[in-house]
Amino acid sequence: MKKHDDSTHFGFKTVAKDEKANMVAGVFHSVAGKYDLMNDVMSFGIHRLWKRFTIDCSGVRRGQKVLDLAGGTGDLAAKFSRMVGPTGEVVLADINDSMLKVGRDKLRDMGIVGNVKYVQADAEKLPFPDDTFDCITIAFGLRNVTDKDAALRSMLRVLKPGGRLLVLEFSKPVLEPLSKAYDMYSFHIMPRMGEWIANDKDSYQYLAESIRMHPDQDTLKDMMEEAGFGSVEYHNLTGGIVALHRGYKF
Amino acid sequence: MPMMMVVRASLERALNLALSHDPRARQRLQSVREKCFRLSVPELPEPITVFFQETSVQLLGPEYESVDGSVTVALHDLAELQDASAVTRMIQQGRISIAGDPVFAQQAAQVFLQINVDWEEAFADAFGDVPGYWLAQGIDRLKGAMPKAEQMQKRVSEFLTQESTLAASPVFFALLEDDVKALERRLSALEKRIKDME
Repeated sequence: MKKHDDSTHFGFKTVAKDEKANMVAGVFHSVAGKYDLMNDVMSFGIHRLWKRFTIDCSGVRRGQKVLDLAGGTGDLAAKFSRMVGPTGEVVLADINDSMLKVGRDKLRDMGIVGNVKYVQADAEKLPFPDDTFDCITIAFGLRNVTDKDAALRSMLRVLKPGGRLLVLEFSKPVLEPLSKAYDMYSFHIMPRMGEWIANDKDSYQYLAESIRMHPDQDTLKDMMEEAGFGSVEYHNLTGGIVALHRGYKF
Repeated sequence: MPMMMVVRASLERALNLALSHDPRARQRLQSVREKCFRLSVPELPEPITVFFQETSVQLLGPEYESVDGSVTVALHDLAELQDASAVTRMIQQGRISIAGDPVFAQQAAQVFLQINVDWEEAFADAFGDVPGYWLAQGIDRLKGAMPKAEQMQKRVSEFLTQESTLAASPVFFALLEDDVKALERRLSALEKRIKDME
């Protein structure tokens, strides 16, 4: 029993819980430099539309405080920064310092300074006071978190009452033919593309495996409700390849 | 939905390109900065939601709910909105519905209506000075021909929309529908009360 409690998934492998964070860190240290390029190539640019939809569902407005968790290279943070303006604040947080550095450099190159803070933070133990943020987003980050329930509880704690959490994550395709084609793409083509473009097959093999191990739409909805979020709903995007979950703190 | 997102993203890119080549755009954007405006045209598949930023705009989807002001107007009434003095009459006639500050709505419209692109500079950036000059001359000539084209367009649109301008507008219908529904609710409440009294 103890063995079961102390173990978790790293892709299809079962590893000790305290090892997963380092293994995930290794993956992201390796891909940080070519993360944006690979996202565009592997999703055929569709990840930009998924992120647009996330912004649409955020309801973020001027003066608000937003946490872009596992924010990586700052795609969402850049948009939020312009929406909240100088009276608001965006915190770009990531557990991985390589990703955070890439994100910080990219946002500064875009002229986005002043209302963005950069914090290296573990989603399971967020270093912010209770009731701090109006909106929290975590895009393609939750599946890499070791203890997802703890992370969801931590997010609930730092959200202001009335605030919302948006989880954008790979999910389960709703159509069987799409599911088969997607499996073939992610297990056979994606790792090869990783090898050719980023010279890193293993990291993209992990990406494909971690997507399969991530909870499906309804399971994640239940997890959010169990963590204490209210009015939880989800939208399937691109036939369920990706889903956006939204929940509120009441 | 993905198709609409692509259309929105392309339109956003085109608008921002035009705004970036308009020397006075920043000034107009200043008055509406960090505010969100929604234009609902019943004939279009979704409302146009514009979030104004310091030097650019962001087009958001219908899911975005934190809008500061909105206007609902039928497609054939849209051109009339250029004349600010016509707005009150249109409200009275039920052809337009405005939520939020009307001044904000006008300022939001002016951001786009007053776009004046410095074509020579824009083309010079992309193709070089001489081709830029010739292309800009071409645009000027086109602009010179615009009044005739506008006259023609007006005649054609009058012919095509004659029926819809005579008929009550979709906005008027929407308001009437709301009134009828409210009346229905009051009637059923009254009926219930009468039944209870019996």
